[in-house]
Amino acid sequence: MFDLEKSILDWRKRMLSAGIKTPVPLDELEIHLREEIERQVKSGLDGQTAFEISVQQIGQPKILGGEFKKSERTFMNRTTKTCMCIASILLGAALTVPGSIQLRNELVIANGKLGLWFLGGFLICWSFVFFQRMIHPKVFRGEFDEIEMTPLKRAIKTGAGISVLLAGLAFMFPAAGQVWREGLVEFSGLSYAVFGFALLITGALVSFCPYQKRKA
Amino acid sequence: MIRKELVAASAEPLILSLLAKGESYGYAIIQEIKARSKEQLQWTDGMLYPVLHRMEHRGLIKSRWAESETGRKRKYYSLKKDGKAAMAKHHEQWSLVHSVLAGLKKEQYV
Repeated sequence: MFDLEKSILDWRKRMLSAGIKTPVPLDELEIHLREEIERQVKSGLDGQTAFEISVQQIGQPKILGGEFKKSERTFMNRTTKTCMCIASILLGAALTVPGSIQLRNELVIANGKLGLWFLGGFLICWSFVFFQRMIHPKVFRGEFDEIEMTPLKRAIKTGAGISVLLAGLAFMFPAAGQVWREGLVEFSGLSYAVFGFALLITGALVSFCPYQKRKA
Repeated sequence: MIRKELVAASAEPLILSLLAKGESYGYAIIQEIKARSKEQLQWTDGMLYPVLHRMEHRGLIKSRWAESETGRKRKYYSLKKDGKAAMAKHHEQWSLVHSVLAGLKKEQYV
């Protein structure tokens, strides 16, 4: 005598051994199975045939298990990336603390702390860029068209970028010299260094990154 | 019968378009797709759920458990804002493919 409940229990065991987790998604699949059996029975099939057809339609446990694992991996990947970003923002903030305290109290910053200060700033910026890529991945993947430029325009662009880059380096020199001579940097020197660093990055982007336009 | 590669590629736009009409659950989604395609689009029933879960993890749809009128527990899925945007993008792309194919077919018979 066919026992539907026992057969469903056995089917659940097979699904569990294929790595499908409970309660979700296994319960969801069981609900689907029961609805399909009910429909087949209403159409005139006996319980056992309805069960066998429904189990076949729902798919092989191993294949289904593999597909669910893929979707879990995608989710885990996203969660890991989010945790990594939060951790690097916190680490970045922590690295800037000693330098910031010294700067606030003495209006100078020792070279070791300055290094940590820049590293912290870099980590925070990197995390925000990473976050943005996670939220709007399409903006960064094939959403831009490279704009063709004449050799003259390209030369002007590269030249302007290198000029800005060199200006940035020049702004950073006084602070670098101060660090070299005295092992610390004053507030004014640090301000120039930060401004110079921003110019350096801008110059590098203008010089070496292709000119692109967002696709319509 | 439609090839499995095309069935797989069309799963997300079809699910999004169905959910744009209102929330629904896995079994109903499959039945509606079967009915609308006159049984031509054959999904392995269980394969719908990993797709739904992936779409949920990507923030395109959301879900809630509720009891049906028969007292059976069901997981209802509905569209989120990002899902609407993704659906619009799918429609645009599929329309483009369709228009290119239709144009080429027309040229063959001229």
